[in-house]
Amino acid sequence: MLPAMISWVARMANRRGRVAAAIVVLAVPLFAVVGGGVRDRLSVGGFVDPDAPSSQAAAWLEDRFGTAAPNYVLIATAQEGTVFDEANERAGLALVERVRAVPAVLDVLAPWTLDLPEDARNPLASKRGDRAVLGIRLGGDEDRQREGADELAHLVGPGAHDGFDIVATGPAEISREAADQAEDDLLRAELIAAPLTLVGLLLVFRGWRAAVIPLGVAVFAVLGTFTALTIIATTTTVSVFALNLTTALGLGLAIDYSLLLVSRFREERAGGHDVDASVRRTVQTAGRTVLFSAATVATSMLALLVFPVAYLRSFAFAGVAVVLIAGAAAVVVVPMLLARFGERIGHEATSGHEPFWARQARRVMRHPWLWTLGVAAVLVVAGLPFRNVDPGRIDDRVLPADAGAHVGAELLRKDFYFVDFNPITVVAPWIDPADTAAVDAFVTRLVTLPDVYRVDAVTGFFLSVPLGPTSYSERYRAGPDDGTWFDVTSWREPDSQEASDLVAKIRALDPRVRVAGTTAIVDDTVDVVVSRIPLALGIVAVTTLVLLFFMTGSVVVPLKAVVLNLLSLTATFGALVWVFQDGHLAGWLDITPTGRLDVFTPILMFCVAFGLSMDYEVFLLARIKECYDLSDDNVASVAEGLGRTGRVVTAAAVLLAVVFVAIATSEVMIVKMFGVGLALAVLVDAFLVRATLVPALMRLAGRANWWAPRPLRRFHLRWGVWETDPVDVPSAPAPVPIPQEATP
Amino acid sequence: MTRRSNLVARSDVVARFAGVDLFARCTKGDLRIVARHAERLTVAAGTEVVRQGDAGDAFFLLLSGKATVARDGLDVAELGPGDFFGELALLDPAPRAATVTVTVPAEVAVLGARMFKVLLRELPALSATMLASLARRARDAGAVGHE
Repeated sequence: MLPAMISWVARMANRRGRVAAAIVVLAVPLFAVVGGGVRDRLSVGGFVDPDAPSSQAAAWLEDRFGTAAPNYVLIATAQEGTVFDEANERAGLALVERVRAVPAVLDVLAPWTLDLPEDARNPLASKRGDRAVLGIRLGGDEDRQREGADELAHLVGPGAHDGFDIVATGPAEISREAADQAEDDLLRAELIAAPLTLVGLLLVFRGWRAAVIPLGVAVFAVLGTFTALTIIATTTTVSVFALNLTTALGLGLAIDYSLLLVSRFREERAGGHDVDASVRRTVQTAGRTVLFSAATVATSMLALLVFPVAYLRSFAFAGVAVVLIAGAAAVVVVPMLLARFGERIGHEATSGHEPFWARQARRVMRHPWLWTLGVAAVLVVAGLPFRNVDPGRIDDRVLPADAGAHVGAELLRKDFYFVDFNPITVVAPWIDPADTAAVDAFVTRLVTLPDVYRVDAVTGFFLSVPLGPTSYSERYRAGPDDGTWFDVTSWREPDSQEASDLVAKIRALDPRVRVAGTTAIVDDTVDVVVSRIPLALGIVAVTTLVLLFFMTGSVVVPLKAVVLNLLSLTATFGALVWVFQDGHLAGWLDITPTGRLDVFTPILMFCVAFGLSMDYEVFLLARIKECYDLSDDNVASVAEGLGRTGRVVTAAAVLLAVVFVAIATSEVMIVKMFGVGLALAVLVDAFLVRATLVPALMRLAGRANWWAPRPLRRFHLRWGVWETDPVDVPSAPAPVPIPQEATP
Repeated sequence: MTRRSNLVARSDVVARFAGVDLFARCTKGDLRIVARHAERLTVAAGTEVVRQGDAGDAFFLLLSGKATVARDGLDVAELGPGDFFGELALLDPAPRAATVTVTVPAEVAVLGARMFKVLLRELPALSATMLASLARRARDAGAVGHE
């Protein structure tokens, strides 16, 4: 199938670009129309596993009790006096009524509506009494909550309202602001990256005609992926953050693939072939490598599908779509453009000197042990901080310090007893709320757990002793068969290990208990994601080994490739922990470290960076193997392979790093992590791993590089992926077609 | 010259190869491998398949039709079905030593330089026959073959 397809493309390409023009003319406007509105169809959520116990507990609460832990918070600061001054209280109650009128709002808690005993501290008023918190539960899924947050922002904040200055925070508001910020940042990243990339392309491709080719492929791939995501979003949740990956990878891979194809075309032209023959040879060699590489990168992205979190799965959808479309576009469109403009695109200058990267390979291969041990040691040391990784989830500090939700959360931390706003929600479906003895008995078990200081139940609220019912105690009661629930407040911060331990102890009280709330949701998410990591790694490793075997026919080279790819990621992962968890360079990067690392970002980066790394590895190995098959000389093949592809790989990596750095200018911390981490990953891979470790290890392994058991070698000969070396046979003076019967 | 997809009727190609002396010692598995990598061309009469002085980049096996071998303008041999040419320039890189022109419309199996070398390395039966053939030609001609 593949050889036939490649041959077809090679033939089509030579029809002087008419087919290319037809494809572009038809597809690009279609993609623009269908995919143009993709943003409105994507979700701002998708960060939790809907099947996790905490998600089910929250769903139960919403379904049976019409409430759950507050997910949207308004902080109202009295412009004069305390929030309990008569005028302020009146204005506050009016504010509560306006909030309750918003359809998405299920429940509102406010300091003015709590019927507390005289001597009890009002947990919804600040320490000084000048600020009030409205704890609001927005119902529905994360997108419905986003709509509710939009309505609330429009109605009551932020800004001045009836004697209050209002700011908003809480998970729904953080998601809303992060998505809006990411959208603005993406536009800015594109505006920064586009001109820099164009200048880079002009330098690398040495001519504007060749330089616009990757941009054309990128536009095609990005719009095509937007269209694919629009279609996928009709059946499942797709995160809006997937668009960042689409743009970065679309441009990056378009550059990679176009550069490989154009370089090969110029090489063939320099070898004396005419434009048509050069296009055909380019498609049959580099074109095949591009398709194979795209399949490999797509496979590593597919591993993200094992995670039951829409956010990560969205990156799989976007990643696979953009890689395959970029690969297909490069192999179909670039040759057609080369056929059309090939005369003007020129050929490689032949200086007579060995290329820089070939000399570099020879330098390394003279002292292979030194380079191997030296560079491996540097990478391992750079990765050491990752040993202390403490996976968690993002909170308000993902946003810049002056963002509303971040400012609001800081107010909660400083001016309130912050822990009051993150109770552990405990659902007990088997306890009849009318059975006060059973309720109080369970409360006693809860309140005596370590680090618990307060429990709210249908029978009232409890510190170390029962303090009687409040006006909101009825929220813990629903239908006769629905059981009841409790709010357990701990002294500990919700993202602390002690809070996690407390959740575990509550779950251990009774197998029927269901726990929700920030701590449980974060713990469940981290647990399920971490538990699937071995499966994802296994899928990536096995598929990579199999695919590289199909390309090389060796069992040694694929193993080395996987190890090297992992090694190339060590520095990135070490840097993630050192910077974003431990907070080094935090001021310079304008981030607020939380002491934990967002669990999603390293996984996401692993799949993207591993795929890109493998992309470069495929380019390099394909060329080394081609030379080795012809010469049977390991050292010469490695030097020639690196010499031919080194420029392509480093240029592509630098241009891709520019795109990632542009993304890193985002003010949303997870986007910044993504940009910084991937920029570092591609540069380390191109400059340290491909330029030193690959040639050094190829030299050390010698002929053993290409070893495989004989049955596997024969299998590869029969079914493996081979770059054919096209044969140019001169035409007859007057070709006469031969009837088919003449060639039985 | 017309290129034919080597996907079409591969079993037919294997059967054709089985009757060629060069593959006499090859197993059916060997032949399937060769058939996978050999490109089949139908070549019109009058086509110069290889040209004296050009760089060699392929090995050719005549499956049907006829061709003449000319060196410095003089015909030195005639080739028929089962004969092969082009291997010398691949085994010992040097310009083509002769021009081969198709005289009767021919079907030719072509292996690029890379696959030719890979198959010689991986298929001992093929390399043994090739060596024997080269030895026979050297003995018969007292010189290199008809390139």
